[in-house]
Amino acid sequence: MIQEKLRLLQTGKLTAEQNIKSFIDKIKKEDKNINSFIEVNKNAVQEAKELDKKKKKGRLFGLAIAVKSNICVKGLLTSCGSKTLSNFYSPYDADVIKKIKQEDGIIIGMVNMDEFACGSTGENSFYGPTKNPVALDRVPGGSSSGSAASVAADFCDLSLGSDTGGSIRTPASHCGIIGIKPSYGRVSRYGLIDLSMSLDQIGVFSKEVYGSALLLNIIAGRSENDPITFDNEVEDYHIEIDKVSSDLTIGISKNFNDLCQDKRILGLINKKIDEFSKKYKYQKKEVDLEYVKLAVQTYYPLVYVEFFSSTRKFDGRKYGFKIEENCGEEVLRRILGGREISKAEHKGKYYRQALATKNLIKNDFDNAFKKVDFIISPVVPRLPNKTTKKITDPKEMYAYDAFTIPSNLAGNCAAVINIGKIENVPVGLQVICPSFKESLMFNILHKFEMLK
Amino acid sequence: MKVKIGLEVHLYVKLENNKTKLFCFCPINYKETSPNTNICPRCTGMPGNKPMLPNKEAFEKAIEVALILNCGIPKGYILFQRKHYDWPDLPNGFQKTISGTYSVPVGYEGKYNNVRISYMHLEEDPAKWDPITGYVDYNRCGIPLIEIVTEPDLIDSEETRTWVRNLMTALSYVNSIDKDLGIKADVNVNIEGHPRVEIKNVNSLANIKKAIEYEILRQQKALLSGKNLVQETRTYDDKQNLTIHMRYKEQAQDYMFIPEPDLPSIQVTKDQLEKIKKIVPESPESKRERFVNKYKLKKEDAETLSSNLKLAEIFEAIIKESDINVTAKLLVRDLLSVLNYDKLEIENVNLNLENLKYLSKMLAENKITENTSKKILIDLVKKDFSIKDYIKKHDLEIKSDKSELETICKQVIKENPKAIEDYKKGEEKALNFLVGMVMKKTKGTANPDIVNNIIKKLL
Repeated sequence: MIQEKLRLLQTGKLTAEQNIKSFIDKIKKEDKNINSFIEVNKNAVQEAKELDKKKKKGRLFGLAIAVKSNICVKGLLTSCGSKTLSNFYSPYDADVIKKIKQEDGIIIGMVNMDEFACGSTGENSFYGPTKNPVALDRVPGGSSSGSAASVAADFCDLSLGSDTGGSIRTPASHCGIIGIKPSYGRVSRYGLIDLSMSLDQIGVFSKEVYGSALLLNIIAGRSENDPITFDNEVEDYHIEIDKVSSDLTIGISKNFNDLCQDKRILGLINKKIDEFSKKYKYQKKEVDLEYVKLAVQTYYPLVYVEFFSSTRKFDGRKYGFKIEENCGEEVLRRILGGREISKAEHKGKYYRQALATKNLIKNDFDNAFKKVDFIISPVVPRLPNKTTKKITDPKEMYAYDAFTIPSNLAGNCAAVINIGKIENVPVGLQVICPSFKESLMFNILHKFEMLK
Repeated sequence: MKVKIGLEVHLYVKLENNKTKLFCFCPINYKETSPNTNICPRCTGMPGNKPMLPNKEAFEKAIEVALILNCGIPKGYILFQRKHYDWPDLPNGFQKTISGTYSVPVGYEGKYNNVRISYMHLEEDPAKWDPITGYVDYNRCGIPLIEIVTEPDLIDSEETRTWVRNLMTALSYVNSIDKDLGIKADVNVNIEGHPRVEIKNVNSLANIKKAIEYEILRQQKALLSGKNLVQETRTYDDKQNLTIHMRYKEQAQDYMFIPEPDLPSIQVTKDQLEKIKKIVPESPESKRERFVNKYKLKKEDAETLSSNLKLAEIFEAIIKESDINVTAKLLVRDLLSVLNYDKLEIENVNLNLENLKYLSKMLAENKITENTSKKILIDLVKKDFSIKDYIKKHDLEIKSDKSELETICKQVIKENPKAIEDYKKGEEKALNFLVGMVMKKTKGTANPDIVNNIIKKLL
């Protein structure tokens, strides 16, 4: 569908203006119930009109792209879903936004999120909770809740999110769409407002694999604006998508499966793996990921410390609101936790221990990828909780990310694709690939897509 | 009461090719431009900003400084750290620095001019903040700074000032630092056996001296009146010329250092190190040794000459054509005392090398007296002129022509009958008086030994 739409846009049978207008009308009518947008770009239609005058059309010509509110777009409200930045209209474009604009993509608006990306459910926003468009009584997942909901509800063609511990993959799973967390260092983070700098990565959402492959191909690559980005070649993910790859080995890990609370999810995943391996004649192999059980405990000290550091600029002097006096409970918990852990009296031991365990987990994956080409696991250990039952125990909340965090700690790429429903709620499957093997990852996602 | 002084000196890196801030491409010429014009999302700390890789030239200059200070260079990885503090001059709420509890500095355990260097490193300058108006100028924010931390090896204000001055001369001479952008220093002062006091915000050579002098007096006075000194941080107020209490040790700030997650670690490569080593000039220590061994200078003279790079260079240039000992004496004794008297720094005086060479040669060949030479120097440090013409014009060459001198001596004897009488009574002083009168008449150009002999003979 997206390929067909792109063809219509490129040939002028569909104008950018028509595409954008239809989305804006739909958002106006339907987003009241979903609350996925914090700000709709008032100039979007005008920008589309200007684009329609162009002779040479970019690769994203006329597509409507929603942006998570922690990615800076010049002139739009980059609020991070927080009162703290409720006055912050960014004076500059993030690297990814520049690239999208260069390819004639249109930013349709800034979407809702858990405050400063702290949360896994989409409920912690100053602008109110995001609803799950495909299961209205359930949370959409977070923190990129608006990015997932806006794609699932057909309010845009594609969207950008950020993933620090699962913030793209969890909502993609709950909303039944594709969500991509690229390898650490694959996409420039210049203009992404920090959660945890050593883990944050910008990624994409789409309904079909092709859309994500195309958008990632455009935003990926080395940038001098982000010294952590790598020189590795950006492959044509969208073109190589149906490359024939034979003799692949699927990795499955008991260490993951043990952590899955809802065995129905595990059952659905195993069924899908069997179908998949039979159809493509891929081998299955058990891999040992001994330290993933420590992922959650490793993740939070890193996030607390780095988040504490990165929020020091929100001191109330420049953006009007001091973060500690204006944020929600989870943001405050992380700041205070980070402040405590960073104190000189602890001599950096918690942070350094977490970094050391991070390496153990990375080693686990490195070793596993010597035996298998990719690993398949659940995305979330349980179904999304009901909107009426907010999780209040931080431990229970943090366990939500047990399957997604390991890939952030190891720095590899991971993606989510929908494989069906349980209790009429979408369930996703996670494909984990080695760092910078995005091309392989899209290839596998496409093969799952073809199973349907 | 023995005093110990240690320093934390901040100097600006001199950039020649890559004149940009440490982590962005904004220009560094903050003095030449209006406030808040050399800025971008990075150096103003916008949400979502990321640093760029550190300015390579600035990093290499820091290594250069480390080598000049005889510091060790780490073989492993160097990581920038985040130093957190809540102050309007820090837009991100932290400073990116290679210092800090867990950091590996750029250079460690060095020595310069007899003062041990604990370590030195590179960091970004904060913005300029005016606490009275609240006005912040981010032009300065992110400019590369070098910090040099010494052991408490200095003993008084003048020695400290001279040490810093010589350090700045040497570093700016090889274009490692930009002296014109100034200096920011924190000074640690304590009387031996008593707690250390740190003085912040001492921002010129003159203030370093004044702050130390005030602080020593304050501490001595406190001890003499029976008070106990405490470890504390004070700030120097240059308007009132005094130090003011800021905080006690217990209130010391916790900077909550963490390694900068947005930057990769840096390793100094062998090639890089070899390349930089070639630029590094001889250290004062090895220069001093060379002066003693090669030129057979007295230790003290060698020490004085080698401690100041410009002085050492002048010395070695002159002795290519003139006598070593005469030149050493001319520079160490005469030139420095003249400069000192006028409170001038050798770096700021326009000295013509050919002129000084000529002066040294005239002295070595016994064509002018030391007296004449000193008088010339007094004028010369104020304004450069041709010594050759000056000597000719004022007829200052030594007069050794005996008949001419005899005429003058006779005249002096005739004019001073009282002195003759005294001399004959056996007063040696009278002879000196008479020689002096001859020198006066000859404007100091007469050879005093010859005059002495003539007068004795005439009497």
